[in-house]
Amino acid sequence: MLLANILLLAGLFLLIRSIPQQRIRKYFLIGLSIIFVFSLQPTLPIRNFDFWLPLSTIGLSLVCWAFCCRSENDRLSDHRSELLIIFGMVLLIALSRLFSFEGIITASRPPTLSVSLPWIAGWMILFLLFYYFGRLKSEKLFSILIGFILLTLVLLKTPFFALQASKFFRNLVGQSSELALANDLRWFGFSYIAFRLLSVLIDAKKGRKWVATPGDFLVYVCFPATLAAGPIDRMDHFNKELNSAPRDFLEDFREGISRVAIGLFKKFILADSLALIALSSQNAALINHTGWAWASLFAYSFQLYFDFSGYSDVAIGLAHLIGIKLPENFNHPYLKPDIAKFWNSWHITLTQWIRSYTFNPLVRKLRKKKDPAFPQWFMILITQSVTMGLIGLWHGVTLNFFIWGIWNALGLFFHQLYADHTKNQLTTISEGHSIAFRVYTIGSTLLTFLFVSLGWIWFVLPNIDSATLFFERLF
Amino acid sequence: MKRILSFTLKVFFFLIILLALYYLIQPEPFLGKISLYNFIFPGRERLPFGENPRVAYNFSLYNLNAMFASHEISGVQEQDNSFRVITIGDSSVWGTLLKPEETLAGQLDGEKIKIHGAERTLEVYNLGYPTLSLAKDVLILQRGMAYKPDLILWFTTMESFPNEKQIESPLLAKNSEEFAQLLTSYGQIPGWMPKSFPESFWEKTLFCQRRALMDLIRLQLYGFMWAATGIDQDYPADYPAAQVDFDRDNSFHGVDGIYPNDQMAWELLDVGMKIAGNVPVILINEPILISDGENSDIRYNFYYPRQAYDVWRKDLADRCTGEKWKCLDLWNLLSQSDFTNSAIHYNSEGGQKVADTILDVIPESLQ
Repeated sequence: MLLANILLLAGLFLLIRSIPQQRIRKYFLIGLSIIFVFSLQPTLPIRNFDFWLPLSTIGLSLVCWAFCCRSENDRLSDHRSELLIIFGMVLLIALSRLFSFEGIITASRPPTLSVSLPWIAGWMILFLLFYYFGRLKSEKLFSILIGFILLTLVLLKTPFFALQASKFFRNLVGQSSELALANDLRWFGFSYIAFRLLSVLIDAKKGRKWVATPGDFLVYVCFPATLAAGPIDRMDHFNKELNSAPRDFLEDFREGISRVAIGLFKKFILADSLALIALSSQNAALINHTGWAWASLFAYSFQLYFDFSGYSDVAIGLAHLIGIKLPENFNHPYLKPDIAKFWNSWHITLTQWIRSYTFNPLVRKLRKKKDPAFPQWFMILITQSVTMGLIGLWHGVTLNFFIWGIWNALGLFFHQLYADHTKNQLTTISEGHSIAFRVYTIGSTLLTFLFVSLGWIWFVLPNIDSATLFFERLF
Repeated sequence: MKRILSFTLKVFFFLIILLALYYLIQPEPFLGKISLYNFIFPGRERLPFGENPRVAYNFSLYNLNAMFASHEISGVQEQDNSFRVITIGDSSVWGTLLKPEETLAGQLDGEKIKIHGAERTLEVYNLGYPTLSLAKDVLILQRGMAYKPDLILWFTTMESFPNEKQIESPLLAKNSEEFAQLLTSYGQIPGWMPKSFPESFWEKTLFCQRRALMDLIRLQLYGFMWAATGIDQDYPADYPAAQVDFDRDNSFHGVDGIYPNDQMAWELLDVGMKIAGNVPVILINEPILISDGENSDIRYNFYYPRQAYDVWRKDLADRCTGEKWKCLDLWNLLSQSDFTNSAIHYNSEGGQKVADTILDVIPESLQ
């Protein structure tokens, strides 16, 4: 998100907050969420895709709501106003083609009405189908929806598949496939949207009963402040915040403005300045002094932290302005004395998501067997590797991201073994020798930072060759 | 609501005080002197210049204090047997497409020469800057004098002479006041010099100067990458070679035939020599590409028609003789293959030939 978007959003949130009736306030929030889904989508080289992808975000959200988030006995007419606002806004955005609004609401001019209206109608039909067949709560439909979202995520995150998809879509719209690139299909915020939708679908499949209005659900999935970089909130928590009685405005305002200011400082001053000196695919091979190589690596560690946590601060601050308290995403991760605590403090909501939907089920499955085939340590290694490997692949399906995940999994595994082995000694030291324990904590914090920073080499560099070359430069 | 208003008012007043202080103090030139170069990062071997900072780890800024503070010349200690030389000139001296060690200054640096019977080591600093303008040369020379050079190598070419070229570059435009003061102090206010106006209220505000302030920080940050990589310009893998075929055009800056003398800033050569004072100057007519392509009977190269250039070169030689300046005419020293992407940019081999010629001339020039 650009600085202008952030300031605009802050102003609009404050305006909406000033509306006295909660119902009207929510209508405006729904409309704003839809506008931002379209306006934040960057221009794409494939014709009309900067309209189709945001439209699909809205469509997919409504389909998921229709399938699993309405109460048993509600009728479509109960949500008439919200549905009218949603479809009305989408139609208005499509109609903005008739005016010169491109660059303001949509990145480029929306497609002609003869093309856009059938697509909108198509999503409406799909929505109605899922609304009526959703009552069946069919396992197959759940699997189809979950599978579709997962496949889309894999498609967009895997350079090879993304390139093939780009070629396919370019051919479909009559553009040359020779110019196709893997990043032609940049679906703004889809990584976060997908995880929100998946969490709702997976929980519903397990039998959890979600009840929300279509507007509430759409705001949860497409909340403008969290579209770019999270946090990934849980629906029950978000809805509770959205529908709770408004808190003290002054307190929210003060908290919100200060968090936004801190976030902007972190992102636009610290992170953007560090970006000039931080390790990157461009400069990795050019740095020819060991000392400066280390410095650029540490600069990258801090750049990444300030960039990501800055965005999170902005999102949390903006949400405060409209009276919503989002979960924290970072908690001084580089000041943690071990890798486990680091991962409990870095991108907390993503880690928790993966833990809830991958790590815990896997652990339960492996432990269920009365006579496990593998020893305990091996099970820890497997579950850590799967979890961290998935976190790596979430950033992009490439070998380097996977290695980065495994690097951290091994760190967690060996730390677990070490912690089990030294638990008693550490307790003794912490109780009797406060200075020794402090020195130990400082040392372990530095070691953890070093380990995490070295891991970032796999994260930032695009292939194994460049990463190994940089490791050689460091040592 | 009252508390919000009071908070907003306090912030507003604090901002107003900050902006007023900034307006009154005008700290930008002073801030330019604060530099991490020559302390944490090694000094740059040439003045900051670049159009593609992300690749070049270098960029153009116009705060002369900051430019010189980032240069290695600001961090040098005097050594007993060294002979300090500064090179002044355009992009051919700065070294477009050349690594720092391949530039003329880089090739001359460390060479040993006999001066008055004693062996001295040349300590050569590249103060070239990629702008063709005598005014810019004079401005930089004035700054360079603070570093007590023993010799000045001033490279020039005809393209630096037209009046219209003198202050069109951003470096001159941003430092026009300093330049005007410089000319006034040497009693030379040429007719082509536009009347300088004091900075407007707006130009003195923090808001207007925010970019220049950010540039000071960026210069320090790029120092990190300069230290880490030794790269200070974009070296493209491929570039278009200097043009050797031309239209049948005999004009120079829109004038057919001989370019009028009163349209050229000859007086700036006098100013430069006055600035140098007792420090010897070798004024060098730099090598140009002499094309053998289409219509090369009319033009030497992209810049120069033969007729206008020959007359200018003779005028320069006459002035050197008349004023007793030490001059060196290297206009045809290099062959076509020694040039890179322009009629004045030579490659490393070309630079070596120029350096060798200069090394031969220096001792006799200092007699």
